[in-house]
Amino acid sequence: MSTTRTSRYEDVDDLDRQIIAILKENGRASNQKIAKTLGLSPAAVGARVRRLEKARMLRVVVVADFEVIGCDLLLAVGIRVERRDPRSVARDLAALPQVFSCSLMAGTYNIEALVALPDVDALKDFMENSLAHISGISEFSAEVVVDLLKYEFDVVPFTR
Amino acid sequence: MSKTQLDQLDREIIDRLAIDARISNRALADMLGVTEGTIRARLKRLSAARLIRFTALTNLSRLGTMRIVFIRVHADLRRVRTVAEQIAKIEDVKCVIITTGRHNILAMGPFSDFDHGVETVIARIGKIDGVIGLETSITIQAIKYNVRTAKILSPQSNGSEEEEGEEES
Repeated sequence: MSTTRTSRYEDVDDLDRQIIAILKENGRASNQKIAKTLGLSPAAVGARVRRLEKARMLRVVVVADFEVIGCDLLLAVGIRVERRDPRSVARDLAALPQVFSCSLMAGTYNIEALVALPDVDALKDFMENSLAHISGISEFSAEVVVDLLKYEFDVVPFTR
Repeated sequence: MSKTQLDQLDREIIDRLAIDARISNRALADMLGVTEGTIRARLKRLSAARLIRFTALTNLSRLGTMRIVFIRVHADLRRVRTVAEQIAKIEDVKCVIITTGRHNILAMGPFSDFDHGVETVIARIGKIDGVIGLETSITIQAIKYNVRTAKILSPQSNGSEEEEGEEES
């Protein structure tokens, strides 16, 4: 429905899967180290990692905690849209730097978003200067994140 | 507001790694004009402090028809934490958040359209003592997902190790 599928997960072979598993454990594992574990050459490991990344199946990243970007206030936001295509509203929201994730939904809300802000002052600014300029939002329900017990996303949508 | 002490060098290291997370410590050191040992020590400290984590992400949309399902749970206020802890034990649920609001727990996870995984999980959550009600929403399309920022809940034990140096014997 969204992107064209240039390659599918089935194209990934057993060695690829083993490389991915090692990198999920430690994204800094060197090609040499992976090669030794799997009985391949370092060049072969490098080529596989590059192929998987190019096919948009794999991304080796450094993930920074919300603390690093100075965000202490996280909000889980549900949005209902009226008189506008929810897709356009979601795109406008996605353009805001404070919006960390944003998805079109089937269910209670049309859009679910996760918003990361430094503090309550920033929330005022976000509501008055960013959200107020997006038309079509008929309901904005923000729940404050009190505590995160589990956060293990390693299979994620690759968006722009 | 934040109590974290990150200096200029920490930020430069994180910025460089954001461009290429697999760059070697030596190349990083050369770029930033410091020693390899400094880079190694910084990465070790940042990982231990749960400020960064090196990982590999795989693309949800390459996994056939997986969708992120949002489950909002209304739990008895006196039992929110124990309910959330029970939900966190379910393997398919990848994210559990306690929030304000009538629904005081938000649970999320990727589920396939073609099995009964999500129904099983919902039934299991519904049976937890203290759960009053729940609401489920399914992602139609992810418009934005910032892969660079997350909540890091446990330090990565081997995350800062870049073994290339030691391998050369």
